[in-house]
Amino acid sequence: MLFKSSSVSVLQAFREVRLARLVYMGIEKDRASRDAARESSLASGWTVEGQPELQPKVRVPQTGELVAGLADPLLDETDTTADDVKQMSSGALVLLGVIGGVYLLFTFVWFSWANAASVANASVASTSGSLGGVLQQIVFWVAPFAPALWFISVLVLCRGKKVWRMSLWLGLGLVVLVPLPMFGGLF
Amino acid sequence: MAGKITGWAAFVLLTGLYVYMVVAAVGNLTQLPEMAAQLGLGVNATGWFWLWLGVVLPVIGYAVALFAGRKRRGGARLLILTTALAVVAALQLEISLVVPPTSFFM
Repeated sequence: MLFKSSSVSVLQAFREVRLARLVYMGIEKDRASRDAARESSLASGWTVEGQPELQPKVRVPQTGELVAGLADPLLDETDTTADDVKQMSSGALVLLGVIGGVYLLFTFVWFSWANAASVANASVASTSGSLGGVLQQIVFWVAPFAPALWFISVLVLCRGKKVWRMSLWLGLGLVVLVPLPMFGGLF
Repeated sequence: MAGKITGWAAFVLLTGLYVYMVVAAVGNLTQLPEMAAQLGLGVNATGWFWLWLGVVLPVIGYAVALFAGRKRRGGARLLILTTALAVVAALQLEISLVVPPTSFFM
């Protein structure tokens, strides 16, 4: 009984020690966490200045996803691909600008030739039927619009497709619509 | 409804221009050899080639335009048809300017 009580007391004493230790550890942990909290608050103090800059960066993709998410079902309904939402790369834009400039040049040259042809035809057509003359003039004057129309058609038909595909069609247009009479001396 | 009527009217107008191009080319194809015969001349192989190309070109352009626009909506279809008409007109103008008609005869 005595032994028992002493052992119990020893155990109890141990318990005291362990309790004290646990309490100490708890305090330590608290302090550590408090220190960590203080550090994090410091860190957050650092990020406070960055937050106004960071927030838009975080928000832009969110809104983009939102827009894409909103647009996707609409695009599915209109039977076009999701690439419509994508913007063109700057290289593609430069390519479009250069090719568009050449098309513009072609348009100018074709206008001059159409003018010459319509003037030449007007004197001939004055003797023939009026309807044929009018239609022939329309056909003459629609020719100069070929480069511009080709350019717009390629842009419309290749919307959302790969850039190389679009440039292939534009290149084909450059070959088909090159104003050969411009190099009249060669023939 | 009004848009539909306008679209069909534009389609008919464009088709009419294609038809005119074919008719004019057929007129060239039939009348030029007659003129040549009156002058005691014949039409050579390259001459026949250019005359037939004038007939075939609008037909090809029309067919290609309809084929390219078969899965498209009305506006895009009309755009393709107009583009093909302009391209065919440009090519015919090119042929008439580059190939001298005197080279048709022998």
